[in-house]
Amino acid sequence: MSEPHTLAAGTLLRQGITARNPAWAQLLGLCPLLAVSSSTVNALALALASAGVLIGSSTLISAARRVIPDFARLPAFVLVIATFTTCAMLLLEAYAFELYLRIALFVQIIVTNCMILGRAEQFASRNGVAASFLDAAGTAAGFAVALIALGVVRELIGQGTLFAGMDLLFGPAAAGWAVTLPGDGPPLRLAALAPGAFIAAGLLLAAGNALWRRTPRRDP
Amino acid sequence: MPDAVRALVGFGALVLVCAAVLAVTAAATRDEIDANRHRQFAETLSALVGRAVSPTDLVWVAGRAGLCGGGTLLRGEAAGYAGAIRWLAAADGQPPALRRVHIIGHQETPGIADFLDRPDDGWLGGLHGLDAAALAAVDTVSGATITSRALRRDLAAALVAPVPAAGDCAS
Repeated sequence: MSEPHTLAAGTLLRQGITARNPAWAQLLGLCPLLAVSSSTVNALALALASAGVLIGSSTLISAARRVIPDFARLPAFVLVIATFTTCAMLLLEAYAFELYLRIALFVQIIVTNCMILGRAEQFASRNGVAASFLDAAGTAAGFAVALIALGVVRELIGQGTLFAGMDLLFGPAAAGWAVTLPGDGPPLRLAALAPGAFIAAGLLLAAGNALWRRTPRRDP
Repeated sequence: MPDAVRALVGFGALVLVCAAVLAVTAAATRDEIDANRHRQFAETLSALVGRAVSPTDLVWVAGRAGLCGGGTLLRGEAAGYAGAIRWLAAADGQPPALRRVHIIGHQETPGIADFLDRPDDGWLGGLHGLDAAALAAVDTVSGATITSRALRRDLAAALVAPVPAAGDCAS
């Protein structure tokens, strides 16, 4: 069992986005990351749903950590995560129905996302509510950055548009946010397909590693 | 209090909190979700028939509903490879022929059964205008034989069943 954290609030938040980013440092949540990042609006919707579930479940698990028996902690964590996932599904179906039809499958499987269960087991069950909230917010922000970065790149290259369909999430006023690249069709349609997702995610992973995971040089 | 009892009470309290969160969210979103589902079903029906159709005006009898102004709506569940394939179709003419088929829901293998999600082209599009006898001669989809055969049989059986009278056409 790890000890309770001793990190400052800012560090907790920053690490979730950079050195401990769930996508490019821990390779967690890759299934929805690859499947849903074909457009920015899909990526943003899944990022918001994942953030809601992660922050809600980490906070509740932390608040209840003294009453959750150790032998039943995993079922208890899954119960809490499933509760928030169901809430995210209901909210999406009620207020962003067209988007719900597109990404419902991947919102459902948030319940099995190792990123969320991992933070519950490694952090929320051993730390206070405020620290768990910050840790979850940092991790959610890190996942959102990776997801949205991938969505922007794949939509731009694979579909030749940017921010298309934002009205599905933000209402009719956002319909005018869409930008279309000049020219005939998208630059590289492969980017919007499954192989493009793997290639773009690999490049993102390499960039993340180059920026935040410096491997010590070995002496010759 | 013994540890076991305390753990049980704690776990029970957590279950109650989760149930309360779910109940509140479900109650807050129920009306919007019902309205969205109703709207989507109405849009699907209208796309099938080619004119506005209100689901509340239809009288379904054994998976068939007569339409005001002629034609029939059919619905059913074919036993696919990975579970039920829920479908909705419009038919007209004598003998009845399919006008359009729409798959409402299925659990077939993504990629292999993607043709189910394209009502206007590919295999599903090729069913337009076919009656029950012509359906029997349609080739199945290579790689998705069970899926396409199940749907073909179900549609053919629905086409030969008696058509009920349309509901209230005065409104």
